[in-house]
Amino acid sequence: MIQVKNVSKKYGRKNVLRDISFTANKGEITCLIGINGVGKSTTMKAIMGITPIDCGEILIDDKKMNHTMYENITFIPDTLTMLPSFTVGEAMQFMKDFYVNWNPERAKELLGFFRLKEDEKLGELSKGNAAKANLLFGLGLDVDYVLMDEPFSGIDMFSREQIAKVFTSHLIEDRGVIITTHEISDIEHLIDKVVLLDNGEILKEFYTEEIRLEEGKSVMDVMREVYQS
Amino acid sequence: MEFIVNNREPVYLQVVRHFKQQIAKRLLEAGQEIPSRRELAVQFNINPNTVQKAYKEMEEQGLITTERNFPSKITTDIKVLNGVRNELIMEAVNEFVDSIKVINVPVEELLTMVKQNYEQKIKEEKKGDA
Amino acid sequence: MNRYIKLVNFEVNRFFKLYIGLLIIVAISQFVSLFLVKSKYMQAANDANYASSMKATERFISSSGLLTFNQVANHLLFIGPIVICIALMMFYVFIIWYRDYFGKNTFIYRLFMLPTSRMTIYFSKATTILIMVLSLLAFQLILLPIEINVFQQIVPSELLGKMSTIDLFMNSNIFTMILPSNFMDFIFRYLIGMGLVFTLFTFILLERSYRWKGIIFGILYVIAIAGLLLIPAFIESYLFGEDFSFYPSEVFYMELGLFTIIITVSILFSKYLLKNKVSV
Repeated sequence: MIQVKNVSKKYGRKNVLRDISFTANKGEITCLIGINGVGKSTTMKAIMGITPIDCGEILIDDKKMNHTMYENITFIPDTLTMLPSFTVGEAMQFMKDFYVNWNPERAKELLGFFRLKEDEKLGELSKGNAAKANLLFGLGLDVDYVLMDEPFSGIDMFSREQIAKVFTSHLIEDRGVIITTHEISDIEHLIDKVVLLDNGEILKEFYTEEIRLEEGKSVMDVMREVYQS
Repeated sequence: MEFIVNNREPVYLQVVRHFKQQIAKRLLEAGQEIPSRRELAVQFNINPNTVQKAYKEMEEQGLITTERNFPSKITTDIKVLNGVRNELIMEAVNEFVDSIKVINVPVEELLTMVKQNYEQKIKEEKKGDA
Repeated sequence: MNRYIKLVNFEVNRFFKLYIGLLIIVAISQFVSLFLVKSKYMQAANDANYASSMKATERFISSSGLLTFNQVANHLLFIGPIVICIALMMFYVFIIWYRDYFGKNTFIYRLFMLPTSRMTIYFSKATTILIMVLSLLAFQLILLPIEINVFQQIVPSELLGKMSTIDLFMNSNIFTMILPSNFMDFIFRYLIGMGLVFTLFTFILLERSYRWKGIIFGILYVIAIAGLLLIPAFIESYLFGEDFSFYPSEVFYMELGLFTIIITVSILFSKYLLKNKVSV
């Protein structure tokens, strides 16, 4: 379980995160929703320990973040995390060299699933393929938690569909996933939990099936309500 | 199996209803094996957790039986199977009656119209199949 | 330790193409200087008709002197590439960090998410700089006897002032700076170099932690370090009066002590920044 507790962060004068708290459980897909600039990416980076926070704490399986945990939690930002001069194969080798939990069989499977070629240079890939490559490097690790920042933004529809298939497959199963997005319409049915962010604050945290059961509302309905008040 | 999701209703209940419809339509037989949780998630393009919830609900309602390490199967209990059929029929009837009650139509006239409409539709289907 | 070695390997590989380019430039430029110096001298020699008689030769030698390799070592095209290498390495101290932040890649994410202490990353970059500098030096040392040999082949023996590599180092030229003949001086000089690298790394990390404020802190930090190193001179001039001066060995040990403090402080400060303040 990932616990974010009363986390605040200032960037210069701007309060990027204001006392936010939420949890994300293993085996569930949690979605942080909000418009651009609202603090979603910052939250993810804070959980990963690659952006410092001013106060509050973040616990992963009840432990504070330290570098050994990078074998157990991975972050897939919307930019390439490998050198553009690397080929897909070289990047995979890099992961193998540095991570004990790299799973070469699963990586090969993902390669086939995404239809990427090992000898293609990362810098020359289309945006959709680069996003898929990024996913490959993250999902190829045997981690309990996967954080994805805007996995669908700016990507062609075909690639979006492919990426969405990952969520229903065994590649995600049993892992805790946190994704951020500002658009949820085509993936609503895949998400277990939603955290609505606005202006650095959490407006609402809820389970999708509960809202549907108890209030007969879709996530979009709730978003409309919450953001318009 | 085509499965279209309505985002305003719990997805797991939609899955359960889908199975009930399949049973009522006799597309799923007593004792028939159903896909595994993973397979169904891929087929229906939904979260495996949702499938898990649906299967649990169906177990509780007695619609499916699961033995350890074996794929789940539709129940062989005739009472349950008939019950499902009746449940869906009653659901449709309730909906229909609720919507038609507002218009004051005598029941016999209503039943004639229903019969005509129903037989017409069956004919068209048969034509379509031919 | 394993990941440290892999990271050093990785960083060295990234620099490799540029490195080979530098080696080629140094070699070519220095060989060209060799021929240029010989040509110029021979031009003057031929103008003075040195070969016409023994007397003419002697006269020419007494006025222009024999041609030694030292003159090559002072030529622009010989020194030039060395200076370029030094400048480039200093530049690379910054690039080795900033290249992971800017451009199309955000490789810094990957570096910070490696399951290894951030100091491993820090030391791997420092080690890479050290390896680069020392291997460039080694290359020059390998090149030198070859150059001297070639030189001795192309200059007429009566005009040649023979010089071994060791003799060359005794003379006043670029090598007094990059290759002090005294072993202690050598260690000292390169230790200062490493200290400079660590200090600059701290400066870079301050900028990466606090941006503009960080640059100001960084400059203050560098000034403070420089100030620290000047303490012996300060003590000498102001504290004890005009006739007082330290023995060179005393200065040496004081500087060494200050140096160790500076390096330790820089490393610890960098560790703090990397762990708590630096963002991607």
